[in-house]
Amino acid sequence: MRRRVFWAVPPNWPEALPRDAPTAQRRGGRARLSRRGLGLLLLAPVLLAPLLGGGTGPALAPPGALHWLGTDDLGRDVLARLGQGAITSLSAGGGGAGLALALGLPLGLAAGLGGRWLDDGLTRLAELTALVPGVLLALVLASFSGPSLTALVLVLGLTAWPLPFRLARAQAMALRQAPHVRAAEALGAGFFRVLGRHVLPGAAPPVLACAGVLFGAAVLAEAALAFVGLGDPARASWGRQVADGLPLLGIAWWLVAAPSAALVLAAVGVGFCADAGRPPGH
Amino acid sequence: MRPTTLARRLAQIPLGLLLAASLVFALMHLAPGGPVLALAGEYADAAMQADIAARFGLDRPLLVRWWAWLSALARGDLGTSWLEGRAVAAVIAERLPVTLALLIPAALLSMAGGLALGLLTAPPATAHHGPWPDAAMLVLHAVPVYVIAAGLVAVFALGLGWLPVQGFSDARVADPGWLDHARHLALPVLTLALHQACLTMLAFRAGLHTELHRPHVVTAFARGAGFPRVRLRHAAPAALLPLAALAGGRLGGALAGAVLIETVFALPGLGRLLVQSAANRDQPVVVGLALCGMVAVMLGTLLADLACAWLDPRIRR
Repeated sequence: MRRRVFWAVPPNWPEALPRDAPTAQRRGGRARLSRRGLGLLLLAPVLLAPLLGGGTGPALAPPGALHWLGTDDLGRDVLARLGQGAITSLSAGGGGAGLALALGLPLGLAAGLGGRWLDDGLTRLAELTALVPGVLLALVLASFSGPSLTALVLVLGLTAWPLPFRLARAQAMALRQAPHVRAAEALGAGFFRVLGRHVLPGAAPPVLACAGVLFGAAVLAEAALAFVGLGDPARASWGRQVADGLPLLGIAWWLVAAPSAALVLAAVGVGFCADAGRPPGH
Repeated sequence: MRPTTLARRLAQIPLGLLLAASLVFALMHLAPGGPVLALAGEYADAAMQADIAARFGLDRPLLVRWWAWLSALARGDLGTSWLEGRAVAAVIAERLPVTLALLIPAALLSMAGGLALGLLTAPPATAHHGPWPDAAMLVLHAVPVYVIAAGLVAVFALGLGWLPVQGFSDARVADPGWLDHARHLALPVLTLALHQACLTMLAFRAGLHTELHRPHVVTAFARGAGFPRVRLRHAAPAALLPLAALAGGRLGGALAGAVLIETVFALPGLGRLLVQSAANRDQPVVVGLALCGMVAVMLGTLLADLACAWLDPRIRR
């Protein structure tokens, strides 16, 4: 039997696990698939909503065959409004999470692989940024320069990057000592080749897994701003739909229930999908 | 915590304060529109704009204004509300008790509820439940607070009629006592507590899960200690540590939650003041509130770090 050199393997280095040894990895693979399926199942109504429903009908009609989720006090189809809001929510979530990742991942890798001064400076900057509450800042900006989706995405991205930064930095620091990276360095690979070829493939998946959390937080932040009346007035939003339906809660529950369910499904569904992309053992 | 680490964390406070103050100043003065337009309105002509800029000192150079704003802050002067003409600090102090009466009971309730639920569902008692308790809590935590509020109002206020729908006191009563306030605060506090308890339970369960497999816990089992005793005496204290580390960040979430909850329940607290001032473009009040929020989160994070170092000797190094 071939002896496996377990002691040379850093603990948080999943690629080092032998292919055949623990069944947990294969089981993890299956669980990943099912969880991704579950996430997609949760997301499906959100993604399909822009294609469904439409038109107007009698005011405050309860959910039925013609209007699947009923109509609001102006006779507008609730499902059609959900579809318009989905575009706003998904772009806020995707934009906020994408910007945070685009900043956090490279900066984290640079801090983990670079020298001590670079690491210290970037870490202090991340610590300071993490102290700034994003939603509060977005509220302040909305009151100063008028509500806008672009400004919201910028604020959310610029305040959320410390999370992917910390994960990427920890991954890079662990991988820097890994045998294959040291071997590549010994063979004379340059900084960028080591970074792109040998560190990034191992470091990226756990960092990308936090995209779900970032996405959900950005979706909920956009809805919260729209709920208090500081959302982009030119765009439909689930948060404003909830706010519009709240005074009619006693007579038309579906006006609040439908957008609320859409918000939860979007936030959780993307979280499950991103979680499924995470390598087992993390 | 090492003395240098402690010194570094303490040095971050003034630096963070300076950064936060400069950030909101930059937002206020460099954002499209700027303060003159916010004060004068869209349809003011050049003469009126110049008059307003001169009256509020907005015609001075940006650096001069920045220095004046910082030195006023250092004296504790947050400026004057454009809408009410009173000191911002006085406006904030007037509304603070309502927000505290919402935040403090909700924090205590969510801690107690989250810890109790975490202990009750700790593995291995529910090992066969798989990941479902965690997944359920994750989904519950993704429910926005205003949706929780709508559900509670629908059941307890509209359906059963036990509690008032909104407001801080009964308008028909001339001198509302604390009991009336408590009745009005019951649903808001419950809403915030439910939202926060999910996170408490998740973090505590995760902590318990790691602790229950540690050697000292296994030893306690082997010596014949029963499961309740092992959970409470040997696993729970160490599992509380991640909760303390999370507490600072949680404060920010609680503040954002308070803004939404006070809007739903029409409570005259700081969150509602922030939303109203933002809608009215009363910039000094918005800036004052944002600064207070940032300072609170900053101090909360630092206190949480210090508490962690005090609780866990491993971090002190």
